[in-house]
Amino acid sequence: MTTPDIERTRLANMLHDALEALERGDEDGWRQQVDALANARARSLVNGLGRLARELSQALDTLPPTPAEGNGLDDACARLDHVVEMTEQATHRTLDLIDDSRALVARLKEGPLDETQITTVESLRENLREMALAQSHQDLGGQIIRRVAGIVRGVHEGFGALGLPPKEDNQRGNGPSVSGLDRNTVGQSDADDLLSHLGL
Amino acid sequence: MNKNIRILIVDDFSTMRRIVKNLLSDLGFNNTVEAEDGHSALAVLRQDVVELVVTDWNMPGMTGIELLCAIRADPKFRALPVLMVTAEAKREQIIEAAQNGVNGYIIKPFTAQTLEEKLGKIFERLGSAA
Repeated sequence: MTTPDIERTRLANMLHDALEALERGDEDGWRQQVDALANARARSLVNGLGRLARELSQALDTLPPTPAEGNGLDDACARLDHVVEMTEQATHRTLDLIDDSRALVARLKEGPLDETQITTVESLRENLREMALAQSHQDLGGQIIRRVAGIVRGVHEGFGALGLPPKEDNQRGNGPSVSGLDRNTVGQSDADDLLSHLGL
Repeated sequence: MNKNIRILIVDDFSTMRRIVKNLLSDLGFNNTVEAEDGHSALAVLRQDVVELVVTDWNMPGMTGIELLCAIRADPKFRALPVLMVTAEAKREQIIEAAQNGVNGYIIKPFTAQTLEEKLGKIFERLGSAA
């Protein structure tokens, strides 16, 4: 016999005994049997709870361990802040070199130049201007990194935990739009259309 | 066009302030002053004679849109042109800026040509208003 069969037979016996005791007017006897039945039911409930607790504990063991010291999220945010600082320094260094080069180009322009040289110097000047503009990546990337760090900090502090993605805040600003992620954003020409529509 | 006008550049990223300053100087505008958010921009406006504000939107402290509202709320600065140069690109935001009296709106990343064009438009309008 399997375990459930044994259990079933045991319960059936207790019910029979309880019924017999009741029929022959044995008050104490049938109360005893009913109590035994109730205990049997409670035992299966306790067993069930015990099993759930074991399963929960096993499931928790499969989760990544919580760092014993410090905490991972603060660390992640500090690293992101560091990236913003590093790119800021590198960008200033590049802009310094671009400034120096612009001064050099200005000096070149003073000398007697032939037609080709004038075109070359002009191209150099344009390239330097575009190089400076391309450094905008530091601002744009930096804003996105700050936003991500903000999300991580928000989760950490328990604000709207698991409530990702974060609520949009048009008043404070959302940073650069990321294609495929941000909706309802426009480019310069759409913005121009919108503004002229508004009378600007 | 008077290229000697004093221009206030407001952005929390020092690199972007530098880039805008460079571009302006390329266009012949060399008289610039900088601030890193709305509060420090207002402080500059109160003690300096500024004729154009170029501001970012998303800044810690006081944002660009709050700065714009503060400028428009002050009778002294009501006519001061404000050019927004920002990565904020939602339709609602552009409408909000327009409703609060912005004079131009440039979305980052932008080109030198866009900046020149928008500045030209602002000065053109100032000229016709004068």
